[in-house]
Amino acid sequence: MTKESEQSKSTDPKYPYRSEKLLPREERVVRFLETLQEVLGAKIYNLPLETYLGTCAKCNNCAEQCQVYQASRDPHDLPAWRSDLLRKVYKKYFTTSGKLFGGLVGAKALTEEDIDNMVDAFYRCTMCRRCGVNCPLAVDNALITRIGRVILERLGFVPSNMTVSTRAQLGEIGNTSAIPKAAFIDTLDFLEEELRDETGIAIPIPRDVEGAQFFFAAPVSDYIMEADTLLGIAKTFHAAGANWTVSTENFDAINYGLFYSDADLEKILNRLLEAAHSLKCKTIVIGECGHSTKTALLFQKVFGLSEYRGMEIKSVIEVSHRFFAEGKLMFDPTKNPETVTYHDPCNLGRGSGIYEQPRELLKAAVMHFVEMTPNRKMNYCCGGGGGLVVVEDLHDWRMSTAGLKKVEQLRATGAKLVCAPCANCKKQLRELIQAHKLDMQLVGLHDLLGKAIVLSGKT
Amino acid sequence: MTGSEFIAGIFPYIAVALCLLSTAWRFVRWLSLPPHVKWTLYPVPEGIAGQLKYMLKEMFTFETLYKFNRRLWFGSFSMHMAMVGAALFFILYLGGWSTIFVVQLCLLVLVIAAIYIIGLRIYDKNLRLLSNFEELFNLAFLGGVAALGFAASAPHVPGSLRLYFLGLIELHPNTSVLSTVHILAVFLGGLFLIYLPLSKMIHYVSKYFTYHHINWQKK
Ligand code: SF4
Ligand code: SF4
Repeated sequence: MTKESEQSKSTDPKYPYRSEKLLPREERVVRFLETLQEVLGAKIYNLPLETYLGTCAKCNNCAEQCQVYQASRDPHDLPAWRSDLLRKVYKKYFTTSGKLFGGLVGAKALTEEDIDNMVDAFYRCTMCRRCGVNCPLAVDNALITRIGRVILERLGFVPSNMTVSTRAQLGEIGNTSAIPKAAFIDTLDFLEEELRDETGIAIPIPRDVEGAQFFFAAPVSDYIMEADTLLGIAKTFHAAGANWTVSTENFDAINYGLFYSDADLEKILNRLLEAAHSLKCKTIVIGECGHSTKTALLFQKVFGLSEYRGMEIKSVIEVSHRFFAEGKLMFDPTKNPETVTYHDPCNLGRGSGIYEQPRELLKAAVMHFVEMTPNRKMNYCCGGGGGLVVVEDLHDWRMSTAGLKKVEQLRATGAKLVCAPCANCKKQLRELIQAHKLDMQLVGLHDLLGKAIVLSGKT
Repeated sequence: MTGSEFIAGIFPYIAVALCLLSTAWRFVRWLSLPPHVKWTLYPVPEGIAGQLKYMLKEMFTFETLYKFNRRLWFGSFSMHMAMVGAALFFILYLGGWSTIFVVQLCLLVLVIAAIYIIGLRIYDKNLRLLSNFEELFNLAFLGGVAALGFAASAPHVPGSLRLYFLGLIELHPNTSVLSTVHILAVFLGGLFLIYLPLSKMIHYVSKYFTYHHINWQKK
């Protein structure tokens, strides 16, 4: 039996994405409740869960913030409706008022149909957190989505694209794209050759350097898809005279655990921290990737082993920006004559607070920069957030619905290049540009920096 | 002791004590929850002054609703402001100022706002989908308290009402000066105070945590 047919065999055709191993229908309700109890027992999420689930005013202010609802106008895409799926269950089984008054206070006994609804709904939220910005009560529906997904995963509901990748990462091979170590080293050699050919300078991509100041890890897909980004990063480190390294053992910063599982998140995160620790590096630099950066930044102190908690974690954007601010980088913007606009990846902007650094770098390295509207904290998600970009089953929906607002925004800029320093956004934006025939191209931030950087008298 | 004497003489203390205790209990409960996952929502307003400015602006303009949900804002903003106004001007009235007519005006606004929001929740299809009995009940309860308060204070407030409340504060209330409507208003008001912190209207406390401990967490 082929892998494909094995997968479809274990897939219930009712569900919007393929999952590998679904729990039998009749066991789902019990497992769901057990897992919710476990999540609450772990205490990590109690404060947000209790406040979010207990006090949402149902004002529906979130609806007009959500790019999914704005495109679909389907009431089942209302953020508060989606969160209510979990809220009702929480109230019914875990609050006194819900136990006493049931439906009168919005509590509801869980059914298999409710779980079906959640399977659909929690994977129609890109966890972009835009709706949280203007919630009068500061409720974050994205976190509720995340908890919902963490529970669904225990019932087997998780897109197989994520689980297959995570299995490869946590297994022998050690990365989500299943690139063998030898092939990775070949890729690094190839990149070094490219750098030499292009610049005439020997710019190394150092490997396994013990005690290097910066331990660099990119989403592994960059090594397949985004060579220009990596070349730009290597040039930047080189120009700044930085002491950096990649690990040939653990070079993948991707952490899909953010989208469906605390257990996997913890294992993947500690693998990364351990790799930097074993090379005695103090600062981990994450490549152009929103979710990897946010996961490492936000969860290090919660899930990282205690000996790894002192390590500093930075986005490569912050590091490059610091080099620039210290006067270590020079750019020749004429190398980038096209009009460039900037897409704020949700996990870098709202999730990590990186708004101004990429803009300052871009303004120095390109001739014409235009803002997208709205931007920064109000920027729209590309439509592939929350890991949905890797879910092929959701491709058409991402193009027609989740990414629609983004397409309107992109079109309105009139820019020829859209810069998005995030592996997931890059994939989704490329697909959107193609599907909607936009007259523009997608680039990474360091692609542009790399083109404009002045290296030892050469550009 | 008659039922009326109990309601007007003892029950207000029970209601206020329960309201404060429940509010404190929920505050302490949330405060005691272990440090959760860092889930900051950037940008975080700069410093205490920045955060204070954000909070005050939101509290006194309801800007987020104003920008994106104007129809609800009309009701919600006036309801909350009327609540604050009623309390404030009632205190002034007790202090000897002739502000009872402002209190009455605020109560009237409260009643109208509650009816308006209930109507909106039934009329608007998305709000209808999101609302359950609890939302409507809370509004009706609040509107009911305001309506009774209005009835008890209009059209002419006997000076003895002021004496009753001052007596309450001084711990020897004179309940004999109250009419049936007054007693009903005190009873319903007391019930509302007990219910408030136990209901989802506890957002006057939860907001502190969702902003300061979650959205604006910097550690
Ligand atoms: S904006 Fe906030 S309070 Fe209002 S419905 Fe949405 S989540 Fe609830
Ligand atoms: S997190 Fe984003 S996608 Fe999810 S409900 Fe909020 S605005 Fe919509």
